[in-house]
Amino acid sequence: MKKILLDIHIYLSLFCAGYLVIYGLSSIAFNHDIRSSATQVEWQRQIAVPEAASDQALAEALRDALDLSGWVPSWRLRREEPHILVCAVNRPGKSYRLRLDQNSGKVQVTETREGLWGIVKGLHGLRELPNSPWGASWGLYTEISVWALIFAVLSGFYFWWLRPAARLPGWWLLLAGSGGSILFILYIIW
Amino acid sequence: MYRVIRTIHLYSGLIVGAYIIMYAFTGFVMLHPDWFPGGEEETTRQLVSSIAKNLSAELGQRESRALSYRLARELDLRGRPEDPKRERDATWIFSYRRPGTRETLRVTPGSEKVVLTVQKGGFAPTMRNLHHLHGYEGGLRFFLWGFFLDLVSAAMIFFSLSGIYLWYALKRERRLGWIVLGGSTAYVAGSILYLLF
Repeated sequence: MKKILLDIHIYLSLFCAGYLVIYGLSSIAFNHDIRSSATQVEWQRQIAVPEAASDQALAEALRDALDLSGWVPSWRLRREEPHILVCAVNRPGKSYRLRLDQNSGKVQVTETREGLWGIVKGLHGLRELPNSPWGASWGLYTEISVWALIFAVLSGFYFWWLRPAARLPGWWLLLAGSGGSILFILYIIW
Repeated sequence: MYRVIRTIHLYSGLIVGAYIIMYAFTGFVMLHPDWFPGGEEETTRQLVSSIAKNLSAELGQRESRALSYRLARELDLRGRPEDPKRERDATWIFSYRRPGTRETLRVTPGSEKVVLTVQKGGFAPTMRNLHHLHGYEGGLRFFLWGFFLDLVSAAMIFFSLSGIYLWYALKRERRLGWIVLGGSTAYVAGSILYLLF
């Protein structure tokens, strides 16, 4: 029993080690508001203007036509002039400001690159990424990692319990650390 | 070396285990918010504040922030103070946030009567707020929360690296481990490169 659990503990943890490092680094980055310095580049593209029933649908079709991935927030959608649509596309590590001239099909793109920290923070809780099959795979990896983490902690408690010499100091650490944490979490919510 | 790392790996897991489970669970709730009860309820009541009675309409940003802490102590508001806002009719809005609860205090300068609105979120929003709570500002308990968050974050990185070391030291047959670790590391590195370029 112990050997099977230990093997699952080891191999699941090896599988999720990368995510845990990303999770730890991004949590520190959120806690201290760490950012990379952003850089901007501008580029243009000529497209066949897609047909769309609404501005939101047009913005999403524009994103797809430019082969970009990310979300198109509705609150950043506006008409500069009746034939000029301005919208944004956001994804981990990059954001785009798109300006489409519907008469000429010309698109001006301002691309903001948020660097490595922007990507690490974006990967923290990413479930999916519109117009990118990779996004769903990261969501699955995140989900597996969450379950693996819970399993690793619970099986770790079991391995500790199997070592009689470690029980007494372990109880103290468990009570002071995890017990104290639970009380503190309740105190924060209360 | 192996015994020392294994002992630290085990004991640090016992110390931060509850926190890790909390973050894993709240993360899971965020991945599946529809599976858990949500909702929100709001209550409003009037309170009396001696600090509000002596409040001046003209306050700088620093003074208004200090005042938000004093009002919180006087009225037993337990959330993290946000930047106070002043409305056009000179009313001050002081907001306090903690996981699942937002307290908003409307203060009219010169009047001892203040209006407190408390918005309480259901289970899913409370878990989401708990997961998102970060930073050191807002008083001692939020400072401690920020410290524990750093501790758990560092522990995550340590568990991964020490776990890799322990696997390497424990197992003589490492082919499966190399495949799993190599595959997952390549996937994470590839994902970063995909987003970088």
